[in-house]
Amino acid sequence: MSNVVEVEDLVKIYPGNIKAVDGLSFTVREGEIYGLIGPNGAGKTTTLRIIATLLKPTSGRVEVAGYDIVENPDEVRRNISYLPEEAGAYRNLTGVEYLRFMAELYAKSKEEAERMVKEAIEISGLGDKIYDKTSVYSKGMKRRLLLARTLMVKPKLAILDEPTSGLDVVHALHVRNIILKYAKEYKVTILLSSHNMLEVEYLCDRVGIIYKGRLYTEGKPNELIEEYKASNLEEVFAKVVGVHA
Amino acid sequence: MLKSLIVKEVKDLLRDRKILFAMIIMPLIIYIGMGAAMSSLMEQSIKQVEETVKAGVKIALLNEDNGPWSKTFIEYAEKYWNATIIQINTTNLNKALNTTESLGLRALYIIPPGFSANISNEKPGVIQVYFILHDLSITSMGLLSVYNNIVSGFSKYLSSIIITRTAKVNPAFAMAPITGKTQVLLSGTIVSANLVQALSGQLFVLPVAPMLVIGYATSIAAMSIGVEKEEKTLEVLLSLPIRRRDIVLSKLTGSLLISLLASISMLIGFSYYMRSMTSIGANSTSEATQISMTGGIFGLIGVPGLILYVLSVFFAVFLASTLGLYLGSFGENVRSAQSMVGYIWIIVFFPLYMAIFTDFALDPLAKILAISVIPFAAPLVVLKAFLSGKIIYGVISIASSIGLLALIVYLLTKRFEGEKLLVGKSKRKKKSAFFKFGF
Repeated sequence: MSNVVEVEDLVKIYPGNIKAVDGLSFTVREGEIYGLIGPNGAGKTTTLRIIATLLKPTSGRVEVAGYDIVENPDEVRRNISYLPEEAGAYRNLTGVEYLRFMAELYAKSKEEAERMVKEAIEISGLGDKIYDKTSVYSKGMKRRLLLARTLMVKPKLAILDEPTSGLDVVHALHVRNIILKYAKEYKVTILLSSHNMLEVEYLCDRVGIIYKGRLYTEGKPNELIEEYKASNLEEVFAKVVGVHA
Repeated sequence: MLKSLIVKEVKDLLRDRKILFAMIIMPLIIYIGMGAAMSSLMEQSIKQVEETVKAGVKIALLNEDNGPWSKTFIEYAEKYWNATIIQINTTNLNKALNTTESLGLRALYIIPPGFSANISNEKPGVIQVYFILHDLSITSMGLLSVYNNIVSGFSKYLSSIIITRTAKVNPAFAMAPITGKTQVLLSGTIVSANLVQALSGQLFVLPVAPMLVIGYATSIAAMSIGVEKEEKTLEVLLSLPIRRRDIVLSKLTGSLLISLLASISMLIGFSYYMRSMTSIGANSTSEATQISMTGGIFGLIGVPGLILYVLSVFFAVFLASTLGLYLGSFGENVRSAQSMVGYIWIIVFFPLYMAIFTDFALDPLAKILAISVIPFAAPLVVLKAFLSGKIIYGVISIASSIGLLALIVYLLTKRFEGEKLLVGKSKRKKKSAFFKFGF
């Protein structure tokens, strides 16, 4: 199984000498759901933004689908679909117009774009509300629309920053099932970050716990639970972060 | 409770450096600077007129009377205005005007036959003044007044002579023995002085419309990037399989279309306004028809001038939109993006008014060139270039706008290629930077 994401010795220092990522290394295999977990300020979002070509690394190497994110950012963008933690939709477009606009950027034909839109409408579960302007959407509705936008293109790598953020229990469950479906049925590799340990445990094939920009431990959720003699991933997280705090 | 709310509100606003700068520091800089610049420009114009008068005016004279009173006029002009009178011998007006222009003189006085006989018979004598105008600047309009004042001054001078010499005289004649009829040769067209005054007045109103359109276009462009940040759509946009150059192009195309619509709308509305105002200023119906139907000042610059003027407005609006997009990209949300461009009208206002005060016929070449290369001055520069027959300055002005436009598009593309568009450039304390970057 080849690696879709390769992160090697990644360092990111913001202006003001703020070190957000400090020598981070990990890989994400094809078709895998990989979870990056860590406390606030651990460097998760920065790492995801670097992989999504939005930020440039200070040093280190990051490859997505075999393309270096610094040397070939356009190629990387063709292979990814990114859902930021705090994302919005164009308020003057309807949900369906937004999806169509996005689909046309990825699809090779009009028919393919329409297929994507149709699929996204189903993923979002927004029903007739999809024809309303996104300005009237609730936070949860927007999140579902954006997740549908991210997955409808069936990218090689979907980068999901807190995918269920702002969703109620029912919709969060729906979204998790969609993520699983796309990973298993369409072989979409997923790299996600989350604060919800139950979600990570449920979704991820492997997880990496990062803290202060470094990877402290990595493995399958059940293996980590066993290794740290914990009853769940939340306890593993508390132990890892507690030890290094 | 209210006190706490007010304190919170004031703190929130005053601690926003961009608002502090835009709302409190900028007005101080701008209005002090604007006042100084305007009074300096006005003083320069007045000084230029005064120096011309001091050095002595040069007048071309077509004396068809050759009587004693016309000689009195020559003596008066030479004695009181230090005037140099150059007599022209032709009866054809066009030839006389051509000779005046070829001699580098700005005014032709015509004293018609019977002038002296009329005055001797207690009938007002007429002096026709033809002023050759190459620009509608303050200086040129000041000089026009000077040449008119020579005639009105002579009328008063003659009045005192008549009253002293003649015991019984018609009081109306004694008060105003001379009637001056001033006409102006402007861009090859002879028009009344009243109309020229009206056109000159229009010139001061002319920058208002481009300023408004430019202001709105800038604000819309800044808002378009501010909204992307505020609505959190920028991050997704930048991760899409689109080249940064295409994102910039699409944003600029949007601004371009709005600029185009704004320019057309402005020109239609403003042409109507100019026509209406010129009709009021015109002396006769035929003159009003002649000038006002072609759009006041616009009617004087011809079709090529009008095309270049439309281009200059379009580029000024497009340039402002691009600048708005660039400056707006430094804001973190709609409010700060708009505050970044809130005072952009100043960099539009100054050049436009500097162009008004510049006389394309009288000012030194360096000054005219300097005004011509300031991009936002282009609409006025083009207009004045055509009025003065020095079209090259109009072309330079538009080329300068295009040059700056290319530079800003380049900077904008670079900004979209880098990460600062998303995370800004922070040298704040560690805590606030962490909060800002959200990692």
